[in-house]
Amino acid sequence: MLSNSSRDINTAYSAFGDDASGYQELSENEYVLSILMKWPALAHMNGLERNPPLRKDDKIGTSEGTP
Amino acid sequence: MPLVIISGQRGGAGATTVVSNLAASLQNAGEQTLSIDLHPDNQLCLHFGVSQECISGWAQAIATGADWKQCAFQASDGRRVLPFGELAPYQFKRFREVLMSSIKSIADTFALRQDEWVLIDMPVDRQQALSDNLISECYQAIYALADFSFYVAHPDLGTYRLLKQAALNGETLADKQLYLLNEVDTNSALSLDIELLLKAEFAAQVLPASIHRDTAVPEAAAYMTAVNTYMPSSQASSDYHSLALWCLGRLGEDAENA
Repeated sequence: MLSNSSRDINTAYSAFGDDASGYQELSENEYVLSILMKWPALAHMNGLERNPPLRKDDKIGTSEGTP
Repeated sequence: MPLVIISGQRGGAGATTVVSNLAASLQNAGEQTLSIDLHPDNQLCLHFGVSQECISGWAQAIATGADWKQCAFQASDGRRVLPFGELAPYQFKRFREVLMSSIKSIADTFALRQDEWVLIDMPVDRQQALSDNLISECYQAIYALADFSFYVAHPDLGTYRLLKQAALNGETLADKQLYLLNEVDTNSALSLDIELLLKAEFAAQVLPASIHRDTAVPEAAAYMTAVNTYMPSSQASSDYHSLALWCLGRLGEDAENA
């Protein structure tokens, strides 16, 4: 039977040689936000882009220099 | 008994495979099912073990004046299937001519099935793309009868973009229309992330039961059977069992009597 008690969670972390104190519980919204920020295309679709995708003004001519 | 329409959010999403395997899982739960192929590709019958030499089907029957009710097959596991049938190019013209007058009586017959679940393999119906498509228009009579419509979608960037765009345009699915996420890839962080996002952002429109990517599914199709027969212990078999339980909980006799 699974238990949510903190003692069991600490036991679970230590079983893998890890320490629970370094982990922080995220709310659902924070978790969703972390996923959006992880993938630039998803961030862009939600208006969160840090590096905007190419837009109209970024177009370059292809006639010059092409054979 | 319930009538469920299953179509792809776009082509290649796996709607035909879902129809076959959901029918098998419902059958395994003690329900009788009739799966009907409304897709001119006539692929559904392959999943039920129907020989490729059998060209009969409901569409082929109405185009040739035969009785479409005599065109169903029963698979070895008890699932019944009514294929679309193979139409020669010259028969398509006749099919289009008689479809409008036939579809009402066909739909009424489906609705009267008291003893079995009717699962419909519906062609993709992106409204704008098919607004002038006569066949799609005729199929609206079937949509009107549906207890649920499932839109099968892969948890990928394209699906997320389409749902976001639809939300921005104020387009939402009607009641009893739900997305079914198919081929969730547990080896792909992106696939799992988008599945979670879709369920978080569009909770009311996404079925809680997802189908995971599993090599047993195409292998089962190649064996002309369902995944719960081909590999009962597979992840996909478990997923379809969960989907069948969801359907039974929402639409089964016990749910109706509650």
